[in-house]
Amino acid sequence: MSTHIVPLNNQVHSHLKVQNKALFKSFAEDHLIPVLLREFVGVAAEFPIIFVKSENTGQFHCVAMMGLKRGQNLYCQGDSFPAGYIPQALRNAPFSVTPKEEGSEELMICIDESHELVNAHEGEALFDEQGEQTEFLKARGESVVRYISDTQMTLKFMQMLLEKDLLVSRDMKISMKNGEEFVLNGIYVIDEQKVNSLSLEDLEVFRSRGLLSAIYAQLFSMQQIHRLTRKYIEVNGDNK
Amino acid sequence: MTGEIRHVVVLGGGTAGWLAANHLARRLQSHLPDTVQVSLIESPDIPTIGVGEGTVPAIRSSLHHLGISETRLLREADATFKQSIKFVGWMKPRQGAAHSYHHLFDYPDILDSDPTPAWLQGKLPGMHYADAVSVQGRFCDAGLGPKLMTQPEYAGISQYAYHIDAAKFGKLLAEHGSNKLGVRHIRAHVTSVKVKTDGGIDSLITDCAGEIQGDLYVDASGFNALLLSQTMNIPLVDKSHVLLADTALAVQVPYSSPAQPIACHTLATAQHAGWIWDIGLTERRGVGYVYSSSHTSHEQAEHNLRDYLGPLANDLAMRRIPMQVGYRKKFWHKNCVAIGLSQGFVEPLEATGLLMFDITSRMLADQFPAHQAQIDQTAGRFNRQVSYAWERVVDFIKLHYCISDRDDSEFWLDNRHEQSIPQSLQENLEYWRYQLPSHYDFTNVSGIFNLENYLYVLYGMHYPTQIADRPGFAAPAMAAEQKVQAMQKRAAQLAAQMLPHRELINRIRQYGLQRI
Ligand SMILES: Cc1cc2nc3c(=O)[nH]c(=O)nc-3n(C[C@H](O)[C@H](O)[C@H](O)COP(=O)(O)OP(=O)(O)OC[C@H]3O[C@@H](n4cnc5c(N)ncnc54)[C@H](O)[C@@H]3O)c2cc1C
Repeated sequence: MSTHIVPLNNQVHSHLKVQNKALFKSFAEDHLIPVLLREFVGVAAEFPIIFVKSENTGQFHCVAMMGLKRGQNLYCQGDSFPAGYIPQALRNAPFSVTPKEEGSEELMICIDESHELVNAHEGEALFDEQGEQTEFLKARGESVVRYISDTQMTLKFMQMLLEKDLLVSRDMKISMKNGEEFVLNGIYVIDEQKVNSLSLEDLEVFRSRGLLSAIYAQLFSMQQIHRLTRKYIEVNGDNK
Repeated sequence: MTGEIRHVVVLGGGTAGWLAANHLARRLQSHLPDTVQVSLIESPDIPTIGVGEGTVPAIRSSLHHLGISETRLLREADATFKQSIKFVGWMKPRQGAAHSYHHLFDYPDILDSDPTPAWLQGKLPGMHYADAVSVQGRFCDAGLGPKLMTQPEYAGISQYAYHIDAAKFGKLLAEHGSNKLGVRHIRAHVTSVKVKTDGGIDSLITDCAGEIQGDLYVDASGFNALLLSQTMNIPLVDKSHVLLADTALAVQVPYSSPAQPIACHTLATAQHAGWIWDIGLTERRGVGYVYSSSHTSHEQAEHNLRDYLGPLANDLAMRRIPMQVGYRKKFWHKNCVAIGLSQGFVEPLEATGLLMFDITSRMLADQFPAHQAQIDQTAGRFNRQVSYAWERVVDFIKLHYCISDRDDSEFWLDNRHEQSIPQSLQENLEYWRYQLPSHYDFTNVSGIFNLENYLYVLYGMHYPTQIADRPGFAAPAMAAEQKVQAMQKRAAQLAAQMLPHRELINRIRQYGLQRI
């Protein structure tokens, strides 16, 4: 899918409309979806939350597992999302932000002009007749800007977990009833034992910043592997 | 209690002194109260030797053990990765092309089925020995770095060491030792040494820090060996009749552009009277000609080095460093232990300098005597182990010369004189004419070059081991070919994920590596 991401402009984009929904199918091949810190509890009720490293930079990210193998998102195959919680990362498109200039803190809203949800006649207008942003665009704009700052918060949390040495590498081997086996490498999770042996001082740091629920949500979320394997059989059938 | 060892004084702030101080302080927990104190005295007037840029993989475990982050090493010591030493021209040209081979850091893959016999019998025609037993040579030739961004510090796809800027590495060790491990750093020149009646060191008199007294002294004062040699008169076991090179001419060469690829191995190119090292750091190359001054003149040597470098080197200053080849008769005498150039030195062909000083520092730290009364026994063992290690190092370096077929200069011919080849090496070479080298030949743990290293050099240089197809020792070509094919496939899969060396370094410097 080609993308054509440009800064929003009330002249160039005055007639553009955007359908107000998420296009799940565009994530059909991404089995890992980014998760924000504030989403941990909601996401944990549906998906395993794990930590993975970016191949290009080696930096850690928090993601929800929505598939058991690369190239297949078990939840984004159709038009609707078959789970109770939709992570924000699935709902940003076609909007995004970039810094106004390189290194600048000021952000500007961009749109992917070639995105399927973008067209000239169906959906919500972006600008009114005066060239002002519509309520729709304002809301979506705020939401993507907030997504960026929330991502920063999430990375800080990640950094704290690393500094306090709470993560461990946990390769997983999943054996399905039908005999299929998955080996999942490069997965890191919070180590409950390490959490339990935190000093009171360190524990207080996490508590006072309201981060304990996120830690426990991650621990708890690993149970969702079972849900994921069931989903895998549902989508792919019982035979290999 | 009297006779306790409470204070170790390290004399010398080169890489050897700092490695020793770091290892001692780490082991003895010197940052805590009521532990053995470690002090390091360094003269502001005498510079460190300023060379020593190649390492071997053991340095990784040491740095990790000392608590130094790999990311820091890459950022602050301009370090790059080293996966091999590529020897060029150590044999006569073959089929019109210069001869070359890799001494790789990955162990040869010979455990399950060993391609070596088949290779020796010519059943893997046209293949470099290293490529028959390892994937790593292919990574070196393709200029790929040895690890992925997703791998934690000190872990890689293949075994690796570093090329480092010696001065910056020294600074890093000094900073870590002083700030993290509790080493007391004294900047002062030692003007005289007080000796006890039993011949041990009593104290060091300095120009600006008074008299410094320790219970144990580490002599890391460089080639001069101020304590062990100049004060205690422990002689040098001279090895210049075995290893003929006695001088180095060193130069720092800038890159022509900041994006210029960096070789992921040391290049060691043979010359008429020695060889040239060529090491790529992030900001520059370190290059030097190691030669025998009885086989060439200093002027000629400089001329050869400038030839090697081309116009790039026109205005660069070169530094000549005389080398004292050999090791002390004893390394630990009374209450003084020599670590560093004071202990011994052989030409840097296999980067043995830092390795020996790292190993012996750790040995000293691990076997640290609790009490004066234990010193004699500990010293005796230390001396035996370290002597053995140095003898084997000399053997291994000599191997590179004495099995060469080069006959274009006196230097190469003199290197094959029987009197110049240690007896132990002669015996091994004799034995290996009809037997494959095996682990049985390397049973002493104090040896630092073992089967793996010998295999790469012997067969990189086509040593003619003759093995017959005896029952049980047969070398089925099929198995070897299959193994090589599987290896080729694996190499391609791995290479697809690996980054060009400089790109890997840039990314690590930008993003850092994870500890897990
Ligand atoms: C040409 C050449 C190439 C080399 N290449 C390699 C290589 O590739 N790989 C490798 O591992 N090794 C290599 N080495 C060896 C390496 O350089 C040394 O092992 C390493 O630098 C350690 O040196 P050192 O600390 O013992 O001595 P130095 O660096 O000489 O340090 C001596 C220290 O003692 C101090 N000192 C001396 N006298 C006094 C005094 N009176 N009072 C106070 N302080 C004093 C000095 O100030 C200095 O700090 C090479 C060596 C040479 C000569």
